[in-house]
Amino acid sequence: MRLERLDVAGFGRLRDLRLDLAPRVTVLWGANEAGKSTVHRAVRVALYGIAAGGPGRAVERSDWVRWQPWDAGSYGLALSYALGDGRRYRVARRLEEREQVAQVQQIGGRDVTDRLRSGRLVVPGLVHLGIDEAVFCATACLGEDGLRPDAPDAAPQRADRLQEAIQRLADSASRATAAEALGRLRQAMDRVGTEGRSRSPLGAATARLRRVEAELLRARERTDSTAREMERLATLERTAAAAAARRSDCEREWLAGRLAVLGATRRAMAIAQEEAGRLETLTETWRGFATFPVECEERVTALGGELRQLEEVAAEAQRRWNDAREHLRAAERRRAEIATSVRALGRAPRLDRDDLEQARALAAEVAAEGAEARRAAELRTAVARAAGLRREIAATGLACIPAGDVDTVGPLIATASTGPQRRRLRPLQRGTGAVGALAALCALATGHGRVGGAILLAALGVIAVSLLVERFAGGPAQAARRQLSQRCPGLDLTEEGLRRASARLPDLRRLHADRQRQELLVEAGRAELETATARIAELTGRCLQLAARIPVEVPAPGGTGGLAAADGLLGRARQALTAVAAGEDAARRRVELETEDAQLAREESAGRELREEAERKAAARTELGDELAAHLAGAGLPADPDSARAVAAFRQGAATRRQFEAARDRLDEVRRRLAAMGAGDERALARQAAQLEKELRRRGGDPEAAAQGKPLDATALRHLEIAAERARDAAASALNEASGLRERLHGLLDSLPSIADLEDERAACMVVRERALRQLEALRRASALIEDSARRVHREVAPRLAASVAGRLALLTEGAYDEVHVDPERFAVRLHSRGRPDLIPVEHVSRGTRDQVGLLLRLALTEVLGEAGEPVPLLLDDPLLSSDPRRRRTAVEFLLRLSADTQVLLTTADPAVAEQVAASGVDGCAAVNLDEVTTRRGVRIA
Amino acid sequence: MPFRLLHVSDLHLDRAFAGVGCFGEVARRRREGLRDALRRAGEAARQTGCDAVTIGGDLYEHEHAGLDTGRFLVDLFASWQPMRVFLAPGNHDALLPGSLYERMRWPANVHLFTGATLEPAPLADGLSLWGLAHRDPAWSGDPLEGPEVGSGVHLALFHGAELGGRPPGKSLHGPFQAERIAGRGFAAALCGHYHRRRVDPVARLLYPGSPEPLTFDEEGGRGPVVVEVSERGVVEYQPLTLNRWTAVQHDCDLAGSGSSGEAVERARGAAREALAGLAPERAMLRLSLRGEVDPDLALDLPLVEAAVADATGAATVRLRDLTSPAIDIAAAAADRTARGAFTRAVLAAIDREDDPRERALLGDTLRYGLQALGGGEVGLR
Repeated sequence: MRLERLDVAGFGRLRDLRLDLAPRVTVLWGANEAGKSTVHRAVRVALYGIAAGGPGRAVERSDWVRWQPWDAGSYGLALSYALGDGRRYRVARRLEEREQVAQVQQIGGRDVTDRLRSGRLVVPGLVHLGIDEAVFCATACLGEDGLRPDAPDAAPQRADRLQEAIQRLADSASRATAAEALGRLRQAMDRVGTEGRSRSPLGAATARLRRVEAELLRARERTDSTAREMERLATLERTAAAAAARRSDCEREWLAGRLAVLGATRRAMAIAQEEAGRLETLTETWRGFATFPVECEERVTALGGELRQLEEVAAEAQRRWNDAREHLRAAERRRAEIATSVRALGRAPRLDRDDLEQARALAAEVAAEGAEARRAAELRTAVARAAGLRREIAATGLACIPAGDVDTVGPLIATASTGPQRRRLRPLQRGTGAVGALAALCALATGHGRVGGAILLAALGVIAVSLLVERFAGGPAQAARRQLSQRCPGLDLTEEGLRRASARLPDLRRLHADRQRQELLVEAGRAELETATARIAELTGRCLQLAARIPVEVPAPGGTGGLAAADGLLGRARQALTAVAAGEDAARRRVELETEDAQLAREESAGRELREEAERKAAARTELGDELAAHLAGAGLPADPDSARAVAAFRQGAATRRQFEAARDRLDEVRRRLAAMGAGDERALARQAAQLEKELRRRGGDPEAAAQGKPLDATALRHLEIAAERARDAAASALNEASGLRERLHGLLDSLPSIADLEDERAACMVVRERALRQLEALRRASALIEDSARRVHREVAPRLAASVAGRLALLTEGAYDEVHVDPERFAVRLHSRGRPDLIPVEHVSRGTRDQVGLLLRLALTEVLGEAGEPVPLLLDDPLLSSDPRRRRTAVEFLLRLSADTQVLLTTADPAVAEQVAASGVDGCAAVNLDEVTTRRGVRIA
Repeated sequence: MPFRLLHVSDLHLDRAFAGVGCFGEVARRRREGLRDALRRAGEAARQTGCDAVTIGGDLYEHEHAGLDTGRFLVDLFASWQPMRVFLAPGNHDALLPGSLYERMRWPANVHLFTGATLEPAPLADGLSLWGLAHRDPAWSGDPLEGPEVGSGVHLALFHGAELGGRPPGKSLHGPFQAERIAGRGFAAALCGHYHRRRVDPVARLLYPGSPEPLTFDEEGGRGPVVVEVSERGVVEYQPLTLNRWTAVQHDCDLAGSGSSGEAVERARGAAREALAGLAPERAMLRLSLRGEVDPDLALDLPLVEAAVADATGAATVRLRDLTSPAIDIAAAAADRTARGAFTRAVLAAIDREDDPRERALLGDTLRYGLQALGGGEVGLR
């Protein structure tokens, strides 16, 4: 970039300034307060704008306020410049308002303002030079010590300052070195502190947090412990309540048990007293039996048993004898009858087995021939039916019609039934007669007598002709009648007769058919019947022979012949067989009677034995009855014919004596029990029961129910007493422990620390600690990133700086130094001289060379840190102010050489510098007296 | 059947208030204030003739609640007799082993819902209250899951997050859809969880909100709601505003502040403006400091908070430093120095980072680094 012209309408002390800048070196000289530094600032403002305050910066302290024109006129400036590629621009800024107006115009082209914006600001310097204002100030704007940064110091310090300046430029565009930044960050970290440093905020917060957390832990433990104690208290209270309830239950149960015992005792005493009274009465009643011979009871009982048994046996023997006596008489009568019957059956035939079998075979054959006899009967029925049918045919009146002509006679009768011709002519005759009569009457009525007569005659003629036709023309009916009279003489040929014959012809046909069928049956069965009759006759003969051989008597036969002989024969055979069967029955009856007689003989013998037995049993019973009577008399009991009743009376007496003795023993026992139950002191028992009822009622029990309950024995009552005692002890123990625990809990609960308070405090400590830790972390990260960034930038920048400086230094020193080495760590610069093999630290070279190296390093940095590759003009503000004349000349010569590729704007109060530049003869250099330039007027900015 | 009850939720007894800048005595006052809120709720229930008090969860905070709080609740509920008290534990007071619900012996008028699903408790003839308990602080089941409840009038009491009106960032405990309230046959759902009051008769949904503001963003009306069920089962709501504490959020522009003193002065002014008309001793103020400030301006926030609290008498003052240093970050990132490399590296890291905390940390890193590289003192924030 080469600056061409600066126009200032108003800026600080400058007013209406137009300054044309030479391509290489422009020396702007003037007295102090002439506005030389203001020109430099105006160039910067043109390229980068001016800060006008704003967020975080007060307007009144801003550069915009500081550089307002002194005369309060217009406030603005413009700068024209050219880039290396030949493009030329003019940037104009109007600064009257805080919101400045900037415009960049490509000379010979269009407005490019928007292309040169960075955010809201128009910054041609940033865009075209590639460096921001800070870098520009640090590298291109040099004051008095820019060329000798550390003039008062010794060489090593000056070198360090140079390195530091380069570091500052490389690290933050001159604001601070990375090392300084890291130092500040470390200071900040120190302010935050560490967790181990208890006096630092972080350490204090951490320590406090740990303390609070420990307290919190203890508080929670105490809370939990107290809660457990509360639970224990609740458990103890529950235990005490349960024990008390158990004790109460036991006591209630014990009282109920005792009441039940008392109730039972009182009830038992009443019962015993009642029983004693009853027993006393009984013993008094039974006292007479005290000496009853109870020892004979067994014998008497045995006697009674034997006697009863013997009486039963004797009675049974007597009863059987009584029963047998009648039976014996009946048997004797029956035996007499049997003897008579046997005598009567004495002539009955005797049949052997063969006869019996033959008789049965013949009976079977006779039964078989019964079918033939039925066949003969059917044959007789058929003959009778045939005769009947013939009578029915005669009754039809059509017997004159032969059976074979019935079918042919039917059509003839139908034809004959059609009637004669005259029947068809009669309507004609009647009609003609009527019409003729009417017509004749009409003619006569009208006075046409002749016509009427003619008409009447004509009608009569017609009638006569029709009568003749009827008489002589007969037809097929007539012929049929004639044939019928020939075939069936005697047939009624009148119309009524024909009609009747026609109606009866189907019946006639049926009757003829039945008759023929019956006659056919009779004819066919006749021969078969004759064969069967012969066979039956032979069978009958055999039957009669059997009857004769046995012999049995057969009734005399009836007289029958012809077809009826078969039935008769069979009847005869049956009679013979019946006689045989009767003989058989008589033989069987005789055997039966003989068997019955033998049985009756045995029964007669048994009856006699029964009579003897009855007599023996009666004697034995009498003997035992006498002995029993003796015992009864010994016991003072009256004699009783009924042995059972006598024995019962004896046994009753014995039983009464035993009851007496038992009642006496029981009475003694009851009296002892009554004595044991405290009979005689019922009042004490009542008092005791009342006391128990009261206690039970007090414990919620029901004395009435308890008194009726099951009484408990002493063991159970003792167990209840023990259980109640234990429950009482347990309840007392639990209550005692609970009481102590409750008091302790009151103290514990009141002294419990508030967890919420501690949590709050913990949270507060955590807030502080986390804030500090976050600060530390951010600071650490910033340190790490700055360190890393600086290292990378240094490594990248150092060789480029070395190359840039080496090129220019060789040119400026005419090859005296041809190589430069820049240490990337600390930017320590070493030079290589032609005369020496090693690298010379910059602090060991001459002061002039060192200043040159310093300036070249700044220029190199503008190239390295800038992105555009555009040469940056050097704005030198009286850098040689305090230099001696020789050194000033040397420096001016160096600048003249440097201006070959770097434009220099040098302000100075020393006219000699201007003179030296003017006298150098180098083209593109100019010396301008600022006092003269500012007298011109009328500069327009936009 | 007409029945009147008072519904309250989200008391958060024994809450730690360090998160909102309350420590020590102020925090204790705040906790006592929560107990007072419950006492006032009971008194309001008595005065309005309520038959019962329903508490929709987060009655206390399990992590911080001590036995003293348990005793307080037992005594207070016992003093409310014959009013009945229905408790439906929420996520902060889940029915856990060792919780106050299990440790304390509750008076007879207290009914604690213990089931993980809605269970009925009779209120009056034909009127039932169904409730459930969070048995796990991380429970995320649907409280309204299940079949229709049948005939009669039924109210539901539970702690849950209605998905349609869920505030941004609010945790999801017991999520449910408002449509399911009518779907299951409930005449109203008496809920807890959201700290902002929501009375929605159309959706049959009631969130009374926390009776006292617990965080700075809990502004607006809040507190118990009287619920009246008529003979015909119509439910009417009467919100009560009983809170004594107020939460205020306010911005303070520090742009152009050249010194920390000036910044403190501006903060005081903004705080006075925010607290005008309020009782400062029961106010929680959060000031958000905004604007671009001088990069060299080092603000010590605790000191500023103390100064503002002193100036206003506010119970709690919390500052949020949302200022940004007046540094041309883009320009810094554009230069080729180590500062530029540092700036680019941090900006790239910020771009890569999704975690807001990490991004904030990187922002501080950039701020501190640029301050250090700018040659000034590093001001900690």
